[in-house]
Amino acid sequence: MVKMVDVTKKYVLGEQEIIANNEINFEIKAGELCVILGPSGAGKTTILNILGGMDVATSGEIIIDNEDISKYNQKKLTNYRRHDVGFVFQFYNLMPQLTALDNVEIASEIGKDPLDAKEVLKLVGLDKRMHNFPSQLSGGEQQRVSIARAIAKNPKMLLCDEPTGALDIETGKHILKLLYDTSKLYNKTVIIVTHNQAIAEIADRVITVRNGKVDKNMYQPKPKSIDEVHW
Amino acid sequence: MKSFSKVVYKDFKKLYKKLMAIVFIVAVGVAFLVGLLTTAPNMRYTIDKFYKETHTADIMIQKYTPFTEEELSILKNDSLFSETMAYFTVDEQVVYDDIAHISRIVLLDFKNGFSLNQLKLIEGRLPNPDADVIEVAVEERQAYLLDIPIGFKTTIQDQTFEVVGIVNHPWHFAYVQEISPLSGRPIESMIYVDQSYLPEMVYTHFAATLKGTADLNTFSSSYEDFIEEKVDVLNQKYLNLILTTRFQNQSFVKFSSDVKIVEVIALIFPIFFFLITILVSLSSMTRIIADERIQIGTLRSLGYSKFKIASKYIIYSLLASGIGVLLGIALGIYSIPSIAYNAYVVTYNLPPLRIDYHFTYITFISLTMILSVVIVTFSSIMNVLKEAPSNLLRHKAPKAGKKIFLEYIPFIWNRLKFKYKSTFRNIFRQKRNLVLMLVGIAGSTALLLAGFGIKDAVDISGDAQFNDMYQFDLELSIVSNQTNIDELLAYDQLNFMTEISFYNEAHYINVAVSEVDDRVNDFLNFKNLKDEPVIFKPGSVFVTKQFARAHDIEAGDVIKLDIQGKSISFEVTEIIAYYFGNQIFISKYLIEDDIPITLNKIYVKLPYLSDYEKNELLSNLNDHEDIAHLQTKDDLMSSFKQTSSSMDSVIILLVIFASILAVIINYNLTLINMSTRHKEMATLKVLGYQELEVSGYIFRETFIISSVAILFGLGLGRVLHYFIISQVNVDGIILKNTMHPLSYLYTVVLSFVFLTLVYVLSIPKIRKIDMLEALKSFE
Repeated sequence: MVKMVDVTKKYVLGEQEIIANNEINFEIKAGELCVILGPSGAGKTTILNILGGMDVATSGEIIIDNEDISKYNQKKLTNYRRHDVGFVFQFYNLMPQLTALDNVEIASEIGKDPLDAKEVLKLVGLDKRMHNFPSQLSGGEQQRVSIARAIAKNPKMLLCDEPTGALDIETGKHILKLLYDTSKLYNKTVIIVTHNQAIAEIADRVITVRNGKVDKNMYQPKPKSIDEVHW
Repeated sequence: MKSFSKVVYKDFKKLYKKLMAIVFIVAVGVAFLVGLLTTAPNMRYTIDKFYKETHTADIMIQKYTPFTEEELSILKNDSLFSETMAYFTVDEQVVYDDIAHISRIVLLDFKNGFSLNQLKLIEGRLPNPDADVIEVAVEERQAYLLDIPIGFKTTIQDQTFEVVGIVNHPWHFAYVQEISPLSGRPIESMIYVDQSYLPEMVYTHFAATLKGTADLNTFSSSYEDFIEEKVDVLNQKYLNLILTTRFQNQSFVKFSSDVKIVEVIALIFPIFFFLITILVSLSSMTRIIADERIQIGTLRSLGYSKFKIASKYIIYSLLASGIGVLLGIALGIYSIPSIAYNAYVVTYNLPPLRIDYHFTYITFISLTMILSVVIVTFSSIMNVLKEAPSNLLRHKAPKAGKKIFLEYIPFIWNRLKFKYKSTFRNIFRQKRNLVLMLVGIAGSTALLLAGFGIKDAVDISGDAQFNDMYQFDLELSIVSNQTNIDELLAYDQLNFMTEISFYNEAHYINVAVSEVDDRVNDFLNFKNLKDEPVIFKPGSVFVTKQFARAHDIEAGDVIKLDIQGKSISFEVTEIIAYYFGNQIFISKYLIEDDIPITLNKIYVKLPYLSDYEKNELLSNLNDHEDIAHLQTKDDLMSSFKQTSSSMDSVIILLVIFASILAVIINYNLTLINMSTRHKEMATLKVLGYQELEVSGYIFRETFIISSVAILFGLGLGRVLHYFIISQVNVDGIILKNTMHPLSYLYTVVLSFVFLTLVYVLSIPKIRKIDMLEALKSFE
């Protein structure tokens, strides 16, 4: 279970104070695929960063499985990222000097109960390319490596920031399918941040963010299948 | 302001932090280069000025009997001389602390003053010739001269003398030992007194400056040529007189050779610094330009010429290197020569260092530095500009990973832990950083090792001479042929004759002849140049290495020596290793027919004696009327240590500079490395790597590279050490080209200490890495 209670995040930029998140409240159930939707600048990435322990809220509580991570110090937050969270980024953030397999191992190596890196790469369909370097892979393939890296740690949840943003529609759909399957197959909470409304249609839950506030929190009992959506 | 100029200006504000690396390394490089390269010229400049201010004579003319009126008048009126001064000198025994010491007494005209060889007053005042007692000034104390305080009174030939001043004579500023020609004993004080001391003044010495030397630097070859030419003329004019120039003055000779060592060592640095500066600027500029790809592409697509775009970076490189050069000059011009000079002052009574600006050096170093940075910048910007603008607008893919050679050896590769696999790939990915680290760390390690090694060479050479070669415990100078000294009858002793001879009519060399040829080996263990023992036999002629090397003498050569006015030829049978002083050991059998053997030296072997017994023996011997001078092996050893103490300065210089360098280079390289790997570190932090694990990821590879570099550095250091040792040629010292194994250990340990220090310094930088910032954009 992921829960945000009155979470506010303020930045000071010069003499100006920017409120990125203004008293955010929501709850996501374990195993859900949730899309956080909103235009750019709405504060959705800040939510993701705070959920992932990469950024700290100015006030409020962030409850992950009954633990309030807003009270964590840097070291505990690092451990939280290490064991409980898998990240997928728009621009993959792979290590260019490491092969696909190495890039997955670099994450699984430090996990508590990691999955086998080769198995995970097979799962994302890269068993034939695991010895290639990122530069030898297409964008979609690189994103699959990055998903494999996130899954291999065997975290509680996957946090994905515009995972299809840099990909064409076909490849994007493959990636979404992969995230969807992960959520269902391993019963993991998957949170996807996007500005793409079409993606929201496949989610169990859609949280719409506008001007740093939660606009809507909608449970979709019957989400569309990926084949049905287009953008 | 035109819009392009605005871009140049605004981006500068953005980029100046990155340009600081260039400013910094240029400043450090220039500081060291300017400082080191001007050290030797400044040291020479100081002494040259000192000579000019004190009107130091160019030439000294001596006679064993006083000059006649006529001779003096001819000399004074010689058109070659500009200033002249006649004076009187005698060596006398002066009692100080109840012991008679040999003193050189110099009679000068304090009443009317004297222009040449002016004494520099250190303390007190100059003697007043009209005082009731005879007032004197004494030479400032140094290693070989006694410390005689102001107010000290003594009696010489029934007359009372009082010391009123401590002075420096410009011919005696170095700590060197002078031997009184009369007794063969070292001079232990110099006393300057007014000439009224002698009822009727006579003159034994004549000092002069030559016309035409006022504008010549005493260290220049034009001065040397000029003097040589005039000495030839004077020698023809005054056949019976002995001429000495500055080139025979021991202080001058010691100083010149010490400065030469500084110069040689200073020359080691430039190549190293230029390499480092070029590599660091290349690395920084390439990074800056890579970050600006999109902007460059935009400007290109807007129609800006390559030249215009390149000019922006050239301006930056000029600014960065220009500021660096100015900073470097300011930092280095005084500090480094002063450190070097002060390290040397310990064996001299020197005036304070004077800094001449040496514009040629400074201009040359500055221009070369600036030019290197500009050329490096130009080549990196051109490298980017040759790509099509459309290409530039696209993000450059990060440098691709590649398989490294180790991966083709599955036996090793498959056994490596994952983190080492990535470490090894990283090492070979950033080749420029790899080279930078190798050069920087190997260089500073080499300097460190050379520094320690020189200390070893001094110690080992001293040990070889005084513990391995010298088997005797005492060396006595005796009144001729008085070899039966009661106190020594119980001990093993060997009698020698030592005699000054001339090689090729010009070069002094001591000749030693033993009373019994075969017994020499009981007192001296000779070794040849291959470090093998050699036995002295009847018919042997052994020449010490330094003299042989200086005059190109080899075993089998026939050399001609003038001894006691006789010219005798000998065939050299062996060149021997000998680290302190120069000698020719000649078999008695080769020489006894030509000259009488007058024994004047005794080597004595002592059995084990208690301190009490030993002191008593020494004090008895000291008081013995037949013994002119006594030295224990420890005395000899400490005199070697004294003479070689100028090497300490070299060691200090090398070790200090190498340490500063090591830290600066390491730190700079680590910063460069961290800034290129910024994104990787951010990614690792996101993945949940703890701070120490992230630093481990970076430092594991710098550690491996550094280890390899240190290994290279040890090899390089050994070569450097060999080179420096071969350049050492001070006061009859030659050093054994060797070093102690422990020095390698010290160097390695110290190098790793510096590395660790740098790591500790850079850990806060890892803490500061902002994950979000780093992950925002593509590259």
